[in-house]
Amino acid sequence: MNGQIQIMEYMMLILMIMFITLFALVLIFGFQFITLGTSYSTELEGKSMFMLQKMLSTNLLTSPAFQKVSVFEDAKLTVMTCDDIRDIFGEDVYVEISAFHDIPSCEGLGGYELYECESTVEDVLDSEKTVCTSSNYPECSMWKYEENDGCKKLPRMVYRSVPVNIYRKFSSTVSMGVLTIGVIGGDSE
Amino acid sequence: MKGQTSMVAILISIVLLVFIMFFLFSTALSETPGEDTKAEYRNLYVTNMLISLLNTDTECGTVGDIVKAFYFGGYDCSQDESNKKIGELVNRTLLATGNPDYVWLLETRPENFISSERQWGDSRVTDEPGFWDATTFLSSGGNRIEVKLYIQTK
Repeated sequence: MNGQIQIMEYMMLILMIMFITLFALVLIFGFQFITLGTSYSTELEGKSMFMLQKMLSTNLLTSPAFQKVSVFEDAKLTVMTCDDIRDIFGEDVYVEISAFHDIPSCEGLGGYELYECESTVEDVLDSEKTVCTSSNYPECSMWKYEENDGCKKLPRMVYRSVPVNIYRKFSSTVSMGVLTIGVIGGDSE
Repeated sequence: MKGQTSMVAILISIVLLVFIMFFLFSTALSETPGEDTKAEYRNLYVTNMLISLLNTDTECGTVGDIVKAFYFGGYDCSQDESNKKIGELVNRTLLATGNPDYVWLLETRPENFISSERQWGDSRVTDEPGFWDATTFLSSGGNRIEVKLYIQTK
């Protein structure tokens, strides 16, 4: 009887030790999982900020007429390609720039003047949706570089947008616009 | 007796382990990912919004010129039309950057001369904490105007 009790005690002991070990393993892996997730998000945020700041300050896109950051030149944006983006910023980076035009006010106008003004407004709004190519420049206000796979929008991308200026070379005016970049975390290879 | 001592020792170990793991988990979970970087992004956003806005050309001159005209005269358009241009630009930009729920306030204050403050946008932005802001200066002759932009989520 004593022997059986002792055997039971040892079995209970072994079971308890196995339980503790399993419990400890689950907790350690869970902790690792959480810290990995946290560091992935931090890495992605850091990468998107780095990309934004690099784009805003690169001489390849900014206008020398202003010597300021965040003033892109429309001609430079038009000639840039996805390959250029990949060379400068790496693989799997999405870049989009859009410019706004000043919408003329048609208030107080009548008759033919109002009709002309409304036509101008329509043209301006259409131009804002037109993606720039070498054939339609400067009657366009959006720059996208999705011609190759390396510059397209991807499902797990994180996007960041900031206001910028775009210098319109033909009209020598500065427009308000938006720069949007998308980055993906981890190794793209 | 020996068995009971072992059981007690094991129970104490389990309790200690649970406490240590609880502490580690709570530390890991309380770390919000990339909080510093988010603050950096917001600062970049509001600074760029302010600087870009002031440099933008409109049919009433640049926005910076519109602000200066309030203090020194020389409006290219009517005052109402000029003021509308500022609101249009900011609201369109907020929408285009995916932030239609942001509210904003542009405030100007003369720095080295006597004149009134001026505001465009929603003056309640600074009533609640959690807004982010950027400051710059405009000069005209020897006069300086402090320009501040505040942005807040609704």
